[in-house]
Amino acid sequence: MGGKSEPAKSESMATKPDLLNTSFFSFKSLKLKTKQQELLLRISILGLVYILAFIARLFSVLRYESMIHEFDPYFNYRTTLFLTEKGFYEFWNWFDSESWYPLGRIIGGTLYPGLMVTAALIYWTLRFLRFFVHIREVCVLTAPFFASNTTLVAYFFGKELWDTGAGLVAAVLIAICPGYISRSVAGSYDNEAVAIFALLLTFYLFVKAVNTGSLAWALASAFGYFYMVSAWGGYVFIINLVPLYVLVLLITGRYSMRLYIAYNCMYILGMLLAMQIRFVGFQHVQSGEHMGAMGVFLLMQVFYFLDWVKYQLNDTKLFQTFLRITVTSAILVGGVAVGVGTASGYISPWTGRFYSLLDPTYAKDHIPIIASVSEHQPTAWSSFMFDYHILLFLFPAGLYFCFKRLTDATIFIVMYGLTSLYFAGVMVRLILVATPAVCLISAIAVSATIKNLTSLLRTKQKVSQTGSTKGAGSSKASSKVTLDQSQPFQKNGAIALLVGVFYLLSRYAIHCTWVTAEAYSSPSIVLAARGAHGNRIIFDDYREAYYWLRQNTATDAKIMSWWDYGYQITAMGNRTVIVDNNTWNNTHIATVGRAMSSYEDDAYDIMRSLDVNYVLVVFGGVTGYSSDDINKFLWMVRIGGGVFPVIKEPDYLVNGEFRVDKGASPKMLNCLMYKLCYYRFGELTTEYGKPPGYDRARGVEIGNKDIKLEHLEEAYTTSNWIVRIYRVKPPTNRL
Amino acid sequence: MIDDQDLGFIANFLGIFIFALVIAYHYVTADPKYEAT
Repeated sequence: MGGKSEPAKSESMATKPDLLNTSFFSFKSLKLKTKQQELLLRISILGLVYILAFIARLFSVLRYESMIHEFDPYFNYRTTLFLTEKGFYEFWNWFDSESWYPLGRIIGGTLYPGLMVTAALIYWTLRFLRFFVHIREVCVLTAPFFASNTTLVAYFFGKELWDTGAGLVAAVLIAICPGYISRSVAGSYDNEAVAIFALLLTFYLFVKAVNTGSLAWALASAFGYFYMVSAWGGYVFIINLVPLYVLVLLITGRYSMRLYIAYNCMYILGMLLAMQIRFVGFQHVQSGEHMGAMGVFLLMQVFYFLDWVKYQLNDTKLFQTFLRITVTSAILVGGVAVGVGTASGYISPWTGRFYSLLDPTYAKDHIPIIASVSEHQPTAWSSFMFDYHILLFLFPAGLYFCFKRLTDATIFIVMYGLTSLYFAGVMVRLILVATPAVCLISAIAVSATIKNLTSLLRTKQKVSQTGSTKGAGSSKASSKVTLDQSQPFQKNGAIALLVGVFYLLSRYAIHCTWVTAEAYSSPSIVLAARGAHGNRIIFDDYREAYYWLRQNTATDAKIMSWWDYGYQITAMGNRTVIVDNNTWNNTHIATVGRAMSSYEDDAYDIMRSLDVNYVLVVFGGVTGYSSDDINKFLWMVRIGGGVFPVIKEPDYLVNGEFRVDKGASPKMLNCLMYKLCYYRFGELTTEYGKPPGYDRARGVEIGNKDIKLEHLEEAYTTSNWIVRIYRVKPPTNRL
Repeated sequence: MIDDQDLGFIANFLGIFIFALVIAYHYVTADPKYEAT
């Protein structure tokens, strides 16, 4: 057969030298077998994707410099530095007196150490191999490195869910998906950098364990879960999604020994391992958020027991009675146990963060400190389009393919996709968690479509081969049948559609690069703007201010600022702060909020009680930088007022409107924050044709130009006025 | 030393090229000979 078909094939290639055939001419000349071609393409794609995932995240390094971004990464960097310098035990027992003055913070017991330990291990390995790099470089490049690794996990996961083709497409999609890149560019040294890798790895290993029933895979998934717990608080998503998935399988009659082995091993071992992380502790057996997993674990034992009894009892009627009694008793016992546990306080109720995930309006009404963070806001539709692009409509198509071929694995990815997409709608930062699922499900749609189209091309070739052979009558007949079934212009249609698919995928690649370069590669610590002539202007005021603090203040000086800048001040300024981004003590933050919203006299008393030496504010009135303290001010009022009722939000508003011009409320015009931001600003002309004291961030002329400070004095203002530092004067002598 | 614009070009080129390879991969695996193995 093969001998017969070869000449026909070469003939068709010679007569129709189309694009696809010519591109594979090289393969023919290399005399590679189809399987070798497949292997070569697979390895090439994976290798290139690995490189692409890494380099696509390096825009910020090339545009600015190798630096840590944003806010939280500075804390992570500081702790990693401590870990590499002092060793693991010192790190684990570290009591940090430089933050949350005068309370301090037990670092080892209040952080997820996975990221720091990972970076330290990479650093030590590199040093062992005689690559003497600075720990900062390792921290900057940890996120891109793990993003590359995530593409490999996505490949294996896609392969497990559907086929190798889907795995490859998933790897490419996730490598450049903006939803993931936003949290994994070079310098974004945050927990999510390694956590998304750990999350996907755990899910992959668990699905593999369910598919194979292998204890080894289940054990591996338990370790994957341990890594995830050590890296990020988002592990709660895993410990709720996996039991939910198991419950769905049990309800739909898909219970199997494979599932029993996979879940039990993963849950028990994973739980025991997770307890080794001090920040998590015994939450797996004490917190309401983890009780679902335990309930499903117990339910699984009931299922196993019933299965065994069914095997022992031959009488169906007797088994039905037994089943009824067992299920009723199990539900009763479970209900009573949860009731008693909750009432006695042994099981802690759901936390506010958990509620705010289920109900988008909860945080706004009850926890202003969560609602104040911009990344905790509900997601706008445009954000989905921005972060997912074509995946937004490929996702439903992928769901269709999954429902068409329902297996244990596809049920899992469907559940992961739907639940995470809901959470992504509730909170904009959770787009990150949904991204792997969206990429995998979309990959199934892309791969299945391309496979159908290429099969059409290949089938047609096969038909022409068999049609051209003047063989036996039977083969003639079969070719006739095949020809009758084919559509007119089938091959042309398939090629046109393939070109269309390629065009869409190309647009996705271009969109991803554009979004990464324009939107997600800004370090936040260094600001960039376009000048009048289109040239790039860099504002490096933050670092200027922090280095000033480091070099010009006493080593034991205490700095008061809004909590956003706490991590940066301790990491770069090396000075003690009152509050920072950990936000563990709401009262302490509210005290700072109260000081900022009070008149100078009242604020001075608060600052004296906290031993504050300097106050730092961020002001964008000169440069037009909108993320400054004046725009965050209402949150300070709300958080302060949440604990101290003396602070009332309406006092700072005029007819429900927040203003800083002449029409602003008297309390607003004389509160500490206003005075510190606008001190001497009334003398400054910021824009041609505008009066002095014109605030470019809010587009108004300020209302109070004659600001006098009594208890504070200006210590330093950066070149573009973005950061302003004031010294708190000592109390005057009482005579 | 490359700058960010060069990197943008490389990332675009590599992304599109990989997608072309992905289509080629599906084309190869749709070969009846491959399916038979």
